Amino acid sequence: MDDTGYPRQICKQVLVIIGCLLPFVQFAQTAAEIVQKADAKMRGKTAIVEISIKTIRPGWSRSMDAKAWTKGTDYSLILVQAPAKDKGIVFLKRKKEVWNWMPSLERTIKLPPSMMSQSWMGTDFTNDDLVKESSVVNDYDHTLLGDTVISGRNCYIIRMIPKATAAVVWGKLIVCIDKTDFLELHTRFYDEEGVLINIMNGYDIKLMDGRLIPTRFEMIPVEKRNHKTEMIYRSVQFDRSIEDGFFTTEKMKTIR
Amino acid sequence: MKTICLIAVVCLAAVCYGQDSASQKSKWEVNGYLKNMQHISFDHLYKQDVSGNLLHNRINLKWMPADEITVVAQLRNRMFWGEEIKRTPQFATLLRNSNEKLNMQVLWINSPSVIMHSNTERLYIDYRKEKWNARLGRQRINWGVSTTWNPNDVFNSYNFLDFDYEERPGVDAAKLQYQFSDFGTVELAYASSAGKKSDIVATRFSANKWNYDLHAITGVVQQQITIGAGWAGSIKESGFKGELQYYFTHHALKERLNIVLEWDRVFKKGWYTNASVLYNSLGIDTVVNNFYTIDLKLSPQNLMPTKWNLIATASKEITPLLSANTSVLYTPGTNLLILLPSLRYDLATNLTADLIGQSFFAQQENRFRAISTRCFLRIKWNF
Repeated sequence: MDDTGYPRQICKQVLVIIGCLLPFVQFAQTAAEIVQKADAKMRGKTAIVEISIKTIRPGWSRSMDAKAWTKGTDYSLILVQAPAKDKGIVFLKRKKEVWNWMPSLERTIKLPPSMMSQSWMGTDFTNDDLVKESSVVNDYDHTLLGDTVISGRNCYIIRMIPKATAAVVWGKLIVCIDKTDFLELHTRFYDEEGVLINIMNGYDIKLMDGRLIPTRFEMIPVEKRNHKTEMIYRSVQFDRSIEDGFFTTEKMKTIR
Repeated sequence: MKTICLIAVVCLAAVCYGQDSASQKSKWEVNGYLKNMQHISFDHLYKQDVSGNLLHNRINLKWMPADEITVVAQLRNRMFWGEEIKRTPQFATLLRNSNEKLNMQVLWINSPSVIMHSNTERLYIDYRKEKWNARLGRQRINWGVSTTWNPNDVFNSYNFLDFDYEERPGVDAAKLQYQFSDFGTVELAYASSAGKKSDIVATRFSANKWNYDLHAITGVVQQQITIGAGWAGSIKESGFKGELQYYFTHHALKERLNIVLEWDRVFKKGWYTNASVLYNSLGIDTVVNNFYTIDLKLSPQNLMPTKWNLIATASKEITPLLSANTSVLYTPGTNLLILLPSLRYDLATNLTADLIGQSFFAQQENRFRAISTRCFLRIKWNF
């Protein structure tokens, strides 16, 4: 996959330049729409998901089960279900605020905003990846670069550059989205210097709660051999009604 | 008639289904851990060293007979052996939590070489319906927001050096809470402990505004009227928390002000840093010539024996399995320094090893010197 930009022949004649720019503008709108459709497909208006996250390193691996409730990009609540030592830990994100519930101490701890860019409980996912502080739709400018085939599926290749005002961890994302079902099958995460940091792949496309989605994702840090994190969707419920009042520090205390 | 019957059947089926889906979650939860800890202490003043061993088990039981009701019982069982208990007079009596009104401890074995002790750490019934929550029994009332010291925890203090007690001590209390908005609550609590005139009654009002968790506390703590406030929010990328608690004069009990300010932030590559200051208006602020005369008996009013206390912490996850943490505590005036380095290694899914150090330095007879050093090695298995 090439990331050198949108290949476009520059013509001398002004009309031709305008002629070239017009489809470019149209493509830019389409790219945003494609990302929006893919995002809406995985996210729903609300989602209740049960996931297993497996951190794999040379010589060892650790697994964690969690249940997450999300509503748009503003609200999310994650409950750790396993292993025993972490069971019952809860993370709550409400707009720009993040809290952590420690069940052994029965105490809510407010986390600093800078915690968002950090690895989540030893995995290759950041807090931001899980609680989605940044919006792939609103916080980026999208450009359609071309197309490719992944696992026999025709995909768009889209470049996403964070807007100057957005608090985003990454410098650039390259995303491959299935043309028919709008499935995010491949993503490359670049840092602010343009260095490729992580690759994420989506596999095991299944019908979950009436939607065709990839149910297994792999996050692979590029510069670390034999390191990866696997995230498997065990169950998904889309678009169930969840009140804003569900995402509270009081709910963290009782959620099971 | 048939229609009514049909509606009744549908409703009944719906009720049954509701019960079924609710009963998918177990009414019982059991978890806990087993820890083995060995430690060695070096007394640099008297050139002595003492070792000790502790086998420590906690069993947490939770029973949820109905959606609104939860019953919790938590037991802490400890077995001590080694030189430490031989050399410490009345070691077993030190295990009693004086905050607890009812004596629910059992001293199974009290010999010079082995002590086995069990305590009921939590035993409460919790009722929660819509906006109301009531809890009666032995519980912990966590009103504080900061990490190391909590002046707002007026019911139950804890010793931050006691790292092996992550649940912290509880108190025999009754608490009623009303939630008036998503983040707004009013709480009223009463607790009684074993000592005379030791009753505590206090209320807390909490809310969330301008991305800050805010609360105000007022009450009577062991006959002293008290008011306090706390907040947890952020300044740019950093966390900013604080707690204030003021106790009014009551007969021989002097007025007292405790203030904590805390800042924390995560930097690139996973460095977590935290700095906080505690001011205790009645604390000592001059050099103490005999370190052992400092009364380390801590209470909600007296979180540190010293007036000014500064602590800075840095921690880093070196690998997902290995993390390191170092704290430095310094008390100006008394010139006391405590170093608290620790390493944690994740041996297996529910098996963790900790190596922890505590080094005390103080000014003694015009000389700043090492007082004592303690090293702990702990293996913990969670179930």
